Amino acid sequence: MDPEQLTELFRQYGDDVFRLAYSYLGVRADAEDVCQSVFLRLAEGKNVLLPGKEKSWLLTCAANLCRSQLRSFWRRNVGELDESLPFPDGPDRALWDTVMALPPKYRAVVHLYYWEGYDQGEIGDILHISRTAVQTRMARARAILKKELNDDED
Amino acid sequence: MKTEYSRMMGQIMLSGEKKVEIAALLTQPRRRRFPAAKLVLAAALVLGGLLCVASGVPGRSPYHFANGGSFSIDAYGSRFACGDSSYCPVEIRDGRMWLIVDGQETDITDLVDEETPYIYTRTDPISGIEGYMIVGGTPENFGWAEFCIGDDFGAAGTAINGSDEMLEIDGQTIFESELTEEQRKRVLAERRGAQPGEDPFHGTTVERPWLAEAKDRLGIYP
Repeated sequence: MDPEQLTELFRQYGDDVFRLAYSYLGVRADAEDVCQSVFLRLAEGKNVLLPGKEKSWLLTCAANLCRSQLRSFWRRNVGELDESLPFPDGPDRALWDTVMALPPKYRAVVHLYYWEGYDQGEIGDILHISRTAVQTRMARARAILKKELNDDED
Repeated sequence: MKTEYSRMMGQIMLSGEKKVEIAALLTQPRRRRFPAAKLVLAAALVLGGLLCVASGVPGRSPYHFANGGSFSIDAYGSRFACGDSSYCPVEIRDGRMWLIVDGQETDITDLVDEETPYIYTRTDPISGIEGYMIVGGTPENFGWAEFCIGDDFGAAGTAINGSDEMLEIDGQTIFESELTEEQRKRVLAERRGAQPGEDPFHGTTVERPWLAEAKDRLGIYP
């Protein structure tokens, strides 16, 4: 893949890859690292992206890297309060804090469903889990969010 | 919930600085690690001949490596010719490291370690181009490299066992060369079963200190 194609993919999907990583990891610096790693892996040219599947490949790679990072020794031993959010207070901050209190595996499903608009099968493909697992995680995440936010689900 | 989540996430994006940084990385030439220094790394030169070209191509500035290979530049770019892939300038005799090059034998055991390289300067008798044979490490785990440096092409050469991999395993950060046999088997097995893009051990390749020190001394880095 030539630099122009890479740059175009980054322009189109860079923010989406970053958002998934940020929602998964909850730390901006870590999410930026993952985003950079995803596109550099693509630049290595070892993977073939099928036309129309570029975004799902990028998100799958991001999810894999996030999982690796969550399991890492350094990550497990670091606590961080992220003060770089664009919404320091208000309802968006309350929602962020509530979502971040979910287990990371729930957060990824929530993000892919609510932000990316993927269906359960597509989410399962990206996260390498079964459709049933997606359903279970989504239902549990919704229940927790509803309880915490006292919000009506749509 | 979808509306609220989308409103929140819509405000989150990569910073402008990070976008510029990543975009710059993506537009860099992939095969040249150190373009500012015109450094050409060609491990295949002695590892397997992947960069072999037909011999007899007339080139400017041919440098002849100790293993019989050569590097030259012509109008079409740089060319490597393979030498003896089994060549090694170091011999271990009675636990001591001997550098054997250009017919000279030097006991370098006490002159090198993981941090300190031994640099032997050699000059191509035909082209007059200066080259450097570099050795570092220990008798149990040594590496070597040979570079030539020219005004018109920068630096070119190869390094064998000049890098190591840093891994996170059993709650510790360990170099691959220091893994136990049991750990090495586990790393291989778990990596085979990993998803694409996923490394259970977060491996990071790093240059060994003796090679980095040698390059620094020779001005190979920008």
